[in-house]
Amino acid sequence: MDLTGKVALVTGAAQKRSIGWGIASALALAGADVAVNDAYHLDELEARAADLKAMGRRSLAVQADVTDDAQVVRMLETLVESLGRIDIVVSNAGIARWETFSDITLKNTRDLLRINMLGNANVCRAAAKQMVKQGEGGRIIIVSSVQSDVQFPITPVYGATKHAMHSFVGSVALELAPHNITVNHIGPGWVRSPLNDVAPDQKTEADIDAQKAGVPLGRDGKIEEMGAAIRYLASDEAAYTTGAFIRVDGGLGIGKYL
Amino acid sequence: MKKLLFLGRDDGLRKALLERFQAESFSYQHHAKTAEDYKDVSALEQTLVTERPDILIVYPPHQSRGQFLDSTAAEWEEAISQNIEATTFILQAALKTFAGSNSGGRIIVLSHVSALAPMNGLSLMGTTLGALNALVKMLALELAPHNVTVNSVAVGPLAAGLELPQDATERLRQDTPIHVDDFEDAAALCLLLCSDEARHLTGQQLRADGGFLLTRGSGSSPYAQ
Repeated sequence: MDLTGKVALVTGAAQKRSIGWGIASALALAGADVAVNDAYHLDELEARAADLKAMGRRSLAVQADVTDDAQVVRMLETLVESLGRIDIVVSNAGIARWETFSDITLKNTRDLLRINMLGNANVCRAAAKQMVKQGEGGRIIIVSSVQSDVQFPITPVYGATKHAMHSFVGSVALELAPHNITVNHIGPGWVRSPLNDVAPDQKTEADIDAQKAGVPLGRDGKIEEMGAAIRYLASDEAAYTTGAFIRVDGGLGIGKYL
Repeated sequence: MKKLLFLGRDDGLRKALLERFQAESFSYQHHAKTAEDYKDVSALEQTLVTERPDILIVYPPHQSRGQFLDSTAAEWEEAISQNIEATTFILQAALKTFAGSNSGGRIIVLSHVSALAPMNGLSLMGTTLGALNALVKMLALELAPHNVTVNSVAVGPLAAGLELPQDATERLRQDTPIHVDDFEDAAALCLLLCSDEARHLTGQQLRADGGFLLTRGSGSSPYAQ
């Protein structure tokens, strides 16, 4: 799966333990030049761009808040000015909040809807417009969640934003197919990334054992494994895969009971 | 006499529901006819407390058609705000009201086939209504101990407020195995869900679509521009 000569953008990729970095480094290892984005952790974001350059790739650190369309449009302009084009966009930036449905707050709901839904729409639209302009196809990949398929009791709105990606990815895949742009999403299961550091059900060793017991393959997913799935969807070999969803979850989403 | 509270859009589907439920001797109230009223969740929460309905039917207000590439961030914010955010807090208020009544009940979220199978040109509507299907399942779990069922009913491609060109309407009609695709069919399914016989039916996404999702059309999408 050689991505030499391709230019990619990965959002939400500043932190070294993040899924975003697992994806950015996997794409770079396959030969792609990779721009990394985040809204926060800017020192770390610059360090990630430096890591990618040390791998022999062109790179760029671009700060932008994906919920702000003007910032996203500027991010794409900056990327094209610096790296010449965009072939692959991985819309990975997202947040999670843990609340029962009775207790969800307006603030957390708005944050989830804005970052996990509006953010994806902004990033995908800006990248798609550039890909259409280039006229050579492209790859749009969203990092959603196993929760696109299955529900968990303390993340109702988070789950809703991820479930919505089935509809979003399918609809946009239909629209962009005539431009030879594929649109897909992957569903990570339990990954011990910074996103999950504050999860209320992953605080103690007993919690971790319980999490492992809930995964058919008996362990957490690694960020490199998320990167591998994205690398496939970004490759020429996946040219005929569009509107699809790949769970990368150790079987977590297969069924309700083990 | 059972009390039905209907929140949301005022269109042909709402009218068909009203007529069908009134024919079956339900009492009927309609609030939040406009998108602005629908977003006034505190007022609707008070309505729920005051009315204490046996049945709540929610009809999210945002329906639109257009290409994703032409959509704007403002349009996405509006659709997310109207269809997801407001509905989320209406359902949260319903959770508290129905759980406290201990007399069971029925909650139905009216939806559209584009929430179940993506359709070109309906990314805003399908995505935001699709999100609600996850919330329906979650609410069904939380209200199950209180004998309250929660389901969504997706209407077919023509039984919504979308303004479609005549040729698109004809194509969609041809792609529907049972050609009738009227508001009355969705109303009948809602009536079934509200019956005592449907007490074991919860957390589901049901379709009154004449089999539209069983088929795939050939050639270009009727929604393509």
